[in-house]
Order: sequence, then C-alpha cells, then structure tokens
Amino acid sequence: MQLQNGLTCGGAPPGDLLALALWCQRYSPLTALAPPDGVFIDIFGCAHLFGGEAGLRAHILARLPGARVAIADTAQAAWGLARFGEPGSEDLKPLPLAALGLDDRTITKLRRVGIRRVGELMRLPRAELTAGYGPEPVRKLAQALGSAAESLEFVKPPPEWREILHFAEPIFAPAQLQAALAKLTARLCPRLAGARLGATTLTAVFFRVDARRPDITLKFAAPCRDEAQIIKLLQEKLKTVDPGFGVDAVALTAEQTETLAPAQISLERPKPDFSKPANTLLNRLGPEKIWRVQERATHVPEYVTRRRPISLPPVPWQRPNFRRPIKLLEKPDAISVIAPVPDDPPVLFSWRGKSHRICKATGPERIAREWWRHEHDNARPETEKIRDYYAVEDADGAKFWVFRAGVHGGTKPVQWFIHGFFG
Amino acid sequence: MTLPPLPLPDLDGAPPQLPQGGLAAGAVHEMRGVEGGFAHLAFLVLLLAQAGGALPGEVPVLWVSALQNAYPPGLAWLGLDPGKIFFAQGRDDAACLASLEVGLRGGMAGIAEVGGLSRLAARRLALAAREGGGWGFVLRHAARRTPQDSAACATRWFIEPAPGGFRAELLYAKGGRPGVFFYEVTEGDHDKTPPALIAVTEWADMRRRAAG
Repeated sequence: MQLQNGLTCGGAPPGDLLALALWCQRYSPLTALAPPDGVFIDIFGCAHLFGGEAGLRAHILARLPGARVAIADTAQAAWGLARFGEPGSEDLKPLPLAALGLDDRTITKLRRVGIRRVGELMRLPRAELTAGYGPEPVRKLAQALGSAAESLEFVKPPPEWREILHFAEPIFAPAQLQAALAKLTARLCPRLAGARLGATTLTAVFFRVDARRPDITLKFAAPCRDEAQIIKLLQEKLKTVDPGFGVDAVALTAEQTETLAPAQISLERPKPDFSKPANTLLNRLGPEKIWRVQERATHVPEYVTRRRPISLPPVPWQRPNFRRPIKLLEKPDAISVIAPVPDDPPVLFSWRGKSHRICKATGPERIAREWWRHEHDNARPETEKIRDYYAVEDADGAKFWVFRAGVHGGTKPVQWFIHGFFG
Repeated sequence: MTLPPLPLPDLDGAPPQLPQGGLAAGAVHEMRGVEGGFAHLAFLVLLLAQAGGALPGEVPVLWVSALQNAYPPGLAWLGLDPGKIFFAQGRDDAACLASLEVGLRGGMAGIAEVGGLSRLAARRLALAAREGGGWGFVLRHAARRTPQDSAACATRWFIEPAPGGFRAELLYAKGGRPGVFFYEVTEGDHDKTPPALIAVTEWADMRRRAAG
C-alpha cells in the first residue's frame, strides 16, 4: 500500500516523512519510506484488523483526508497505482510508464516506438526489451508483477532510552572506556527514574573508527536502574570489547524497559532484594545457564522439567504422587539384572562393574509412552512400549530408580535400565 | 538480618553437638559423600525441606553444578519446592564456586556441587557467607580426610547411606565436638506428608526399625 500526499500528522512539520511512516505503524509494524512523498505499509496479515482491505482504506482516508491510497500485491505496483491509478483500481495495464518508476530517458525512448502504457510493455518479449532499453524496464516490470524481489528498508522508531557520547579524538584505553560508560549510565539512570522505569535489557555499543560496532548486552533478572550495579556489570564485560584503533562514540541504550516504582523509605524492615546477585550471575554465566524450573504436564520423567527465565516469577511445584529421585541420569543406562519373571523387582543388579544386592523394593509404577505424540508402529504394539519403575534399596542402603522396559513374551526381550538415584 | 541456624533433628530433645544447635547461618558447611552416591545431597534436601517453615520464605536458594543438576520432581517429593530455586550451571568447579560466592554475598542460600574445594576457595566462600548472612553448602564426593581440609567451613560432614536412612558423620564442627549420628527417613505418603528425618540412637536400633 502506498500513501501519497504532503501530509501533516502528529504535530510534525508537513513532509516529515519519517514521522508519517512511524504514525502508519498503527496499521502494521512494517512501514518504509518512499521519498519524496510516499509511505509503504506492509499490510500482510494486518488488514483483517480493520475489516479487510476496504475497511483499512476507509480507516486511513478518514484520518488522512486527501491521501492517495492504493493496495496492491507488490510495493512497486502500489507505488504506481497510488500515483497514477484510478482510486480503488488494481489494474496496472492502463497506467503510464512513469508508474513503474522508470527514468525519463527510457520513457522517451519507449514512447518513440509507441509504447505508452504498462500493458503495452508487458506484451513485449523480455529479451529484446533488455537488448534495446537496458535491464531496468524488465526489472521494474518484474518487481511490479511480483516475479522479482524488491527490498524495502522498514523504519524503526529511534530508541527512546538512549544516551550517546561522541569523542573529538578516538579513545581506546580501558580506563577511558570505563569512564565513558559510567558517564552514560549516570545520564540514563536518572531519566529512567523520572519515568519510573527500569531496564531489563541494556546494550552498550562502541562505534569504532573502522566502522565495526562491538557491543555489550546486559540482561536483568528484575528491572534495574541502579547506577553502581550497572556500571559494575558493564565493566565486568568490557574486557570482551576490542577497541581496535579507537572508538569514536559510545552509545548506551535501554532496549527493553519495565515499570519500576520509585524506591521508598519504609518504616518497616525493608524487604531484602536479591536481584543484585541474580543480575550478576545472569550476566556472568549467560541467560541460558541460570534458570528456574516449571512443571510440564507429562508422566515421562525426562520431559517433566521445563526451564523458565529467572526474570519471571516462580511457579510452585506440585508434590508428585510417586517417589522421584533427586538425580536423574540424562539417559537411562542399561544394567544387567537377576529378577524373577514375569514382573518382580530385581534381586541383584550390576551397573558399571559393581553389583548391588537388593533388600527392599517398591513398585512397580508403570509409565507408558505418550502414544499420541508418536507414529504408530505396526511391528511393535504400543502396549509393549512401557516402563515399570521400581525404587530399590541395596544392602548398603543406597537407593536407585530402575525400570524394566517392555513386557515378557513381547516381540522384543525385556531390558532393564537404571534411571536415577534417591540418595 | 540475622537468620536462625538450620535445625538438625535431635534425639529426645538433646541438642546435637553443635554450638548453635544447628547449622549456623552466615557460614559454609561442607557435605561429603561416597563416589557414585547421592546420600549427602538427599540429606541436605531433607534438612532444608524440614526447616522449610523455620526459614524465612524470601531467602532464595541458588543451586550450582557443573554437571546435570538435581532433578526437580525429586526435590518436590522430599518437600522442597524446586520452583523457588535458582538453578545454575558453571563451566567447571571454579565457575561454580565463583557463582556460589556471588549468591552468598548477595544474601542467598547457596548449594554448589563440585569436585574439589581448596583452602583458598573455602575461605572466600566463608567470607562471602558471613557478609551475606545466608547458608552456603558445598557438596562433593570425597574421602573423610583430604590434604586440603581447612577450618574455614563451619561444619564438615560425611554422609553415607544406611539401611532405611543415613549415617551422618560430623567430621569437624567449629566450636563443637565431632560425632556420628544416625538418621532414619520416614516413608512419605502420596498425598501430603513428605519423607522426614528422624534421629535414632545407633545403627542397631535403625536396623531393627528397618526390619520391623
């Protein structure tokens, strides 16, 4: 879709295309500039929110009276239709050649041989067109018809919580970089405090003289605007940044923010705050190396646990109905077993060269495979794909979680595995 | 904020041989177990679960390990809510101990499963725990005596499985007497009651109870 007009919106001066493009992001997150006077809006998957394409068009026209709106399958076609087409029409054929955005020389040359409309151009053989008039007409035509790719540069709102520091001379000494980070933090944090916000993701970008941009990203377990803490975390990560031949500018951006109420002096004993060690660990180990856990609704022991970012509040874990080990082997390990058939717990098993005589056992707890998640296997019935778990205790008091896979008399012989330890 | 010591189940009201009557807060405690066993881990989880009500609920637990971490449903079975625990994975022992130090300094209760604990590392952890005021626990597979044993940890235990429970040997206690304790673990039921630690007088007593 293409809007065309010298418009005023949101208090911006007329013709401020970027402001218009950002305003248009209420229709779709993807908008691009079409200088001097147009804006592209990628409405793929968005039109239904405004009652279809007709509804969207009416919605825009109601807010931007006088705008020329065209909706088409490709950006090039929309560009041409908005400028030269009949309102509401999607037919490219009657449009003049200028609708393809061709330059004047090519248009004149084509007009000399009697081609004035896009439809006439479409009828010509492409190879000869390229030979006579260069690659441009064919490329533009293909873009308008959707058979060639076109790249649009979508606009992004400028980050609101950004502080930047430029240097007259490039700097590279760690102490200078540290001082720059401290200065930026000291500027950003009071601004965040004023807006009652705290950063949850913070990025420091170092603009090097050779146009490279190394950066540091901090993640926070809880929204944070504590200057001392941020400076300390940034300094810890500064050694990963190679300043090269020098750094021209340093920018500090709070990429993601959340509300953080201002600190208040309380009459009661203050609630202890554990976000500081959590933040340090999060940034030292990395976000995937520190987690909380959450239960998943399944009986399969391997899949019960789901990791959860520590920035989210904890979810209480229901106590299981049956015994569960405190250590689970990543993969069940095969053991050799002496066990009465058909379904008694083992009396003796050996694992990793050590044999254990079983004194006590509880079970079985039968856990079947989640058949609805798997392809049906005709060779082996689902009833055989079960595990019978036993909690066993050996003569020394060590407790193990073992299971028998399969059933006696099945298509495959029964196999025993160890899967965990109770202590 | 001063936290109470972590209580140990005692026998007929007699306090265990620890000056504070339990595992002191603001200190590091080392628990050792035999290679391939996890009795020391289960023992600690039971202690923490049992003290659950006595612990101020807001103190979060950090659990660091370089290998596969504890299995959350197993912790839940023993009565410790794994949802409240921060699990972390360090590259190696040094990273795990450094993470534990950060947690302890920040006032968390921390558990680290490591292979070795040098005197220097123990001292650093002890200082961090004293500053933060939480409990630090170092779990490792080691013999009763090692050349790197130091007095930095407030207590040092060697936990072995025993039929129906644990044999907990107090190897060292700051200001206390070493000794051997026997604990029986009650069977938890499927509904509400998690397993519990009960102190018993001695091995024979435990055997008899286990048999009966």
